[in-house]
Amino acid sequence: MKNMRKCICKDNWQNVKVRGILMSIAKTIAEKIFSIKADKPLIAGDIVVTNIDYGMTHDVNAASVIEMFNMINLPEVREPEKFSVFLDHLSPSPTTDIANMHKNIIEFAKKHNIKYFMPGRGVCHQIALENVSILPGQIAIGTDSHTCTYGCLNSLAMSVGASEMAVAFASSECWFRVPETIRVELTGKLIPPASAKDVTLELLGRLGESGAAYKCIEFGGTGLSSLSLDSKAVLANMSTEMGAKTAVMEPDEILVGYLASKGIFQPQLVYPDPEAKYCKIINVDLGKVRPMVAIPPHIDNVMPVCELEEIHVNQVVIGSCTNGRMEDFENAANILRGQRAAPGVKLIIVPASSEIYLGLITRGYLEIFINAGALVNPPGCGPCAGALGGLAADGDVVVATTNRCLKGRMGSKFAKIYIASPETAAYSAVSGKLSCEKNVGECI
Amino acid sequence: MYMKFIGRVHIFGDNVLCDLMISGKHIMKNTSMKELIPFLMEDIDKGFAQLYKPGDIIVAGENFGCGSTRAHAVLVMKEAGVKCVVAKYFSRGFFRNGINEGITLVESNWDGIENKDIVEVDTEEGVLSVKAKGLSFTISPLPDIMKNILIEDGLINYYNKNGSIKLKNNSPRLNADE
Repeated sequence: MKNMRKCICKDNWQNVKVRGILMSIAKTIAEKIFSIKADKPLIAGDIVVTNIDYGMTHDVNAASVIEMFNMINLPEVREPEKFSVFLDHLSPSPTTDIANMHKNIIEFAKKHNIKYFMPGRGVCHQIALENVSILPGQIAIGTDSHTCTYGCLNSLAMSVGASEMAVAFASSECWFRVPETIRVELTGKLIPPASAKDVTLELLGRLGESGAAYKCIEFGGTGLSSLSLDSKAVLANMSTEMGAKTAVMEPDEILVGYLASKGIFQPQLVYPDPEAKYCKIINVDLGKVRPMVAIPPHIDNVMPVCELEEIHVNQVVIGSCTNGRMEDFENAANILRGQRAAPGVKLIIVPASSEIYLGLITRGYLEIFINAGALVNPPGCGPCAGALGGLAADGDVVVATTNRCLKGRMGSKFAKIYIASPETAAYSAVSGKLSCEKNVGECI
Repeated sequence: MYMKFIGRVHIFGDNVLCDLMISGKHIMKNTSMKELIPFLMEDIDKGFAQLYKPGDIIVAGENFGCGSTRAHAVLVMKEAGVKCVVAKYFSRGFFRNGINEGITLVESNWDGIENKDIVEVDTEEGVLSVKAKGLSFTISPLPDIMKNILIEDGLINYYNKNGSIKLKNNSPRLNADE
C-alpha cells in the first residue's frame, strides 16, 4: 500500500489535511506504540486519550498531585498497582517541614494502596528500571522531566503535570499528542574514555536545548547494541534537555537479555517500520565522539574537554539519575583507584539506588571512593536539583555528571556547573582541573 | 477561561526556565502556592511580582518554561491571576502544565509588542492584536481537547464534569469535523 502521508513538522501539524485511509502507514516507534494502545492507526499530530501502564510522582510534586486529587469528586485511585510514589529529591529530609510533607505523602500512598519508596531507596527513575516497572511497548507518565529515561526499555515515557497525574490516579487515563520523531542513527563503537554522556552532549551541541521540542528522539542503528543498558539510559535521560517529549530505543539483544534476567520472557518489542517518516535524521559515529563538557549556564554550549583552557575545579559530583549507575561508578572507580582527590576538591558520590549502593560495597568501589576522599551520599538525587547533599558555594567550580547547569541549580547562583561524563569528572577530581586524562593536556 | 483576553503586557525573553519561575529554595518549604505569589519570577525579573496585576498578560520569547516540569510555576501563576500567556513557543512540559491548569497558552509571533502595551487575545477569531499600534497576528486554534479543558478552567474541572477525559466522539483527529 502506498505511503500516503508526508513528513509532519510542528509548523504545519495543525493544517494537515491528508488523512485518507491510514491502515498500513509506515510508523515510527512512537506512532506504533500509540496506535497499539489506542487500537487504531495514529500518526504524528493526532490527539489520543489512552490508559497508561505506569505512573509516578515524587516529593517535589507529590503534595500538589495529592491536593489536585482531593479536588476530584469522590476521588479513588482506580488501579493503584500502576502507580508509585518516591521520596528521592528532598531526601533524607533536611528540614522538619519536608519531614512532615514526606509523612503526608506516605499516609496518602498507604490510604490508597499505592507503592511508596522511602528515603534512601533511591531515585524514581533508577528504581523503575531495576523493577522493570514498564515493559516494551507500554506508556508511562511521571511528574518529572527525566521520566523519558524509561525509553531505554523500548517504551514511551513522558513527563506530565500535577493535575494530570491526579486525573491519572483516578482514571488511569492521560491525553497525548502523538509526537513527530527525530531519528538518531548510531554507528561504530565508543572509544574510552568517551562514554554515553559524551554522546548526549554531542547531540545537544548539534540540536540545541530546544532542537527536539515536542518530539520523540528514536535511537537505532548498528552502533546501538554496542551500548549497555546503563549507557542507553543516559541517552534516553538527557533527551529532555534537548526539549524532547520523550525518547525511545529500538530493542536489541541486550534489552531482551536484561528482561530475561528479571524473569520477563517474550516481551512485545516495538520496531519502527522501514519506511517510517522522521522529521530529521542525525547520524552519530560513536567512534568519533570525544569527551565533552557543557559550559554553564547553557547545557547546549558544548565543547571537547581537551579544547578547554585550564579550569580549576573544587567540587566534583558523580551520580544522579543521569550517571549514577553501576557502569558509571565502575568507570569512575577505575580512574580513582589508588588516587586521591586533589587538594581542595570536594568529591561527592551519589548512587542512584540502594541496589547500586550495595554494588559499590561488594565490588570494592566504595572503598576506592572513600580512600580518594569522597563524601558518599545516600541513594537519591543528592545535590543535582539543589536540595541537599553538598551544595555549591559562591565561586565554586563544579564538574558534575548530572543534567542541568543553569545558574543556581546546585546551590549558589555564583557557582559554575560544568556537565560532563563520570570519566571526565573522575579525572578532574584527581587533577583538580577540568580534564579527560590524568595528565592535563593529553587527549584522545 | 478560553475565548477572549485583554491585558497589560509583561515581556520576557527566550529560554525562560521553569526552574527559575519559582526558585528552588521555595520548593523546599511546604507552603501554599498563594504564599509564593510574591516570589513569582524573582530570579528572572525581580520586580515582576509587585508590578503584576491579575489579568495582565505575559508575552515571552522562544522556549518559555524550559527545564524542569515543576508544578509550582504554573500553580503560582494561576493563584496570581494569570489567565493567558503568549510565547513564540512553549517548552512542552510547561505547555501541558499550563493548559491543564486552565491557563490559555497562545503560540504566536508578536514582534513589535512591548512592555505595558494593551494586548487583545481572541482565540475564537484567531487574532492577537495591539490596537493602539495597529499590530495584528493570526493565532492557530488549539485541538478540541485542549479547548475543552480550558473552557472548564482546567483538567480537574473537566474531569469532574465529564467523569472521563476520553474524547466525546472518540475521534483522534484534531477537530471532530475533519
